Amino acid sequence: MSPQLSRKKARRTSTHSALLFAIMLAAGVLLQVTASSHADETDIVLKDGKGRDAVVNNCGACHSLDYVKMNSPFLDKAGWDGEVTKMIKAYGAPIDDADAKEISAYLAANYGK
Amino acid sequence: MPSAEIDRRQLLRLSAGGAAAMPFLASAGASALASQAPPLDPRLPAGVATEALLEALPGKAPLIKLAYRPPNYEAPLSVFKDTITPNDQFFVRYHLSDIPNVNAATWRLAVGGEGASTPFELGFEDLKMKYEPVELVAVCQCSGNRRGLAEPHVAGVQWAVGAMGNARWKGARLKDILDKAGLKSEAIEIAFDGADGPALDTTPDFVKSLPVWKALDPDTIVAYEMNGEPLPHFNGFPARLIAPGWTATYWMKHLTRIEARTKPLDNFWMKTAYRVPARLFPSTQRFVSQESPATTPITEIMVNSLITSPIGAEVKVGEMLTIEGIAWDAGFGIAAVEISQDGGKSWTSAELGPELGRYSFRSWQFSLGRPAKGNLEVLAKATNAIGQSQPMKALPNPAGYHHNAVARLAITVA
Ligand code: HEC
Repeated sequence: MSPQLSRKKARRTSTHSALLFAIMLAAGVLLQVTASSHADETDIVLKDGKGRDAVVNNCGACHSLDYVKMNSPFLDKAGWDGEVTKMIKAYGAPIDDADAKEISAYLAANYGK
Repeated sequence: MPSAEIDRRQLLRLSAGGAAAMPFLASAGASALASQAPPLDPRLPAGVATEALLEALPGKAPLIKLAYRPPNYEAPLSVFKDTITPNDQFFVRYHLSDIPNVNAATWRLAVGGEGASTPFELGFEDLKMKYEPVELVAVCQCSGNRRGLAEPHVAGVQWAVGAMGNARWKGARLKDILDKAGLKSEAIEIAFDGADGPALDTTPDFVKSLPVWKALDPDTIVAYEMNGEPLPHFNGFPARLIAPGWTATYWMKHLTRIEARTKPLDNFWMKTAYRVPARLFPSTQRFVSQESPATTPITEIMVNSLITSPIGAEVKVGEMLTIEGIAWDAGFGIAAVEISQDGGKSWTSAELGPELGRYSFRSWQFSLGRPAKGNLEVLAKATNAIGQSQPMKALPNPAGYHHNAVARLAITVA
């Protein structure tokens, strides 16, 4: 309908920087050391544990991982299951069943109540 | 130590030429953290404290960072000492992370839809020159402001008290724009889209609608100025919707499209998000075409107040102590703010400050004289012109909206 909408779409295809970012973070190749003292999302550290990589690989595509950490520790396993399902069903997160299981187990164990 | 941190440091050593780089990182990291730790409400989930930082987005003052991407930054309590919130300290809230820089010179706003007989487009100069400018002061408050204080906690951005601000907005009446588009009598909702979009296109774009009656309210405007300046990028440059009295979910930023609809907008952001249990809150303003038996869309702001001073919980014995704060509601107007020092058994009226408009923060103050040594707790409760006031406890609801429990401040006089 409007030029903005098509531009929005066009931009979307070109800026998968977030996804790229998640992949780089997962691969451990993203590193920015500058003189600036600005913190950024590369500072976000998730607890070590089985499933952590699945979270980093899957959960950083649309938002930074502070979304996960600030929502802790008050969700139980069912609560985290619900969040992961919401990401897939409501927000269209492309996450397969095996990863989804591993992710909610990790989140319940490390960021659950 | 968590492994990501180790990876990062090991990498640094590899990439930045060895051990010489380490002291730099350690000192830069440490000082950044020390200067950036914001004052946090102890009622927030513990996880917030590990992530929240005082950080400045480009063009903004340092605010409390809750999420980097999309940017979600709230104002520290100290910001609310001013009744008008400075633009650079105004909170930032996005759902979706693909946020373009909009160029006002090429920006176009498309106005149309099935419910409009004469669709058209306008540019930034048209918006400023072709419509009668109106100005009003209004509170922009996130529906989920204070979600982080909800008991029990609920998932979402864990805001404390600062996901709100009060500004003088200048813009064109939405009604005048819709008149030009030839609004048909069948139109029931007006929908709004902004330039920001999702990172992945499987995520529903953020598009919201208003009932026609609210869209035609002469106070609903398409704003291009905030406190006499262009809108900051992160607050919706070049133009955003101002729906005074209603929560900020309707205040679409970076507006690109206004659509007159003959059918209710059916998307995640209307049908699933931003809904409250029917009849839980004493709302009087309805959005009938979006109601269901169990839930209704959130509409107007609930009457609320905040204690802004003193900020520290310790005051010196023998000194005069004045409690200061702000109160606001959906535009009915603040009738009274009352203070209790006995846990809510008895209340005494505070003195209201100047009125900047019915949708604005209203300042208030109350002298406690020279309180005796010891601990005291001060409660503040606002009542609006239709007799609504704040509950002692926030009303629990699944998404943690409308947190408007009486304000409380514990003070130690020593
Ligand atoms: C396809 C995009 C996408 C992916 C991938 C994604 N999320 Fe989200 N997530 C969102 C959106 C959109 C929001 C809402 C953001 C807002 O309103 O601020 C959100 C919000 C959240 C929240 C806040 C609570 C809520 O329900 O709004 C949590 C927690 C969260 N995500 C966790 C995760 C986890 C864990 C994963 C990995 C399994 C994940 N996300 C992957 C899109 C995504």
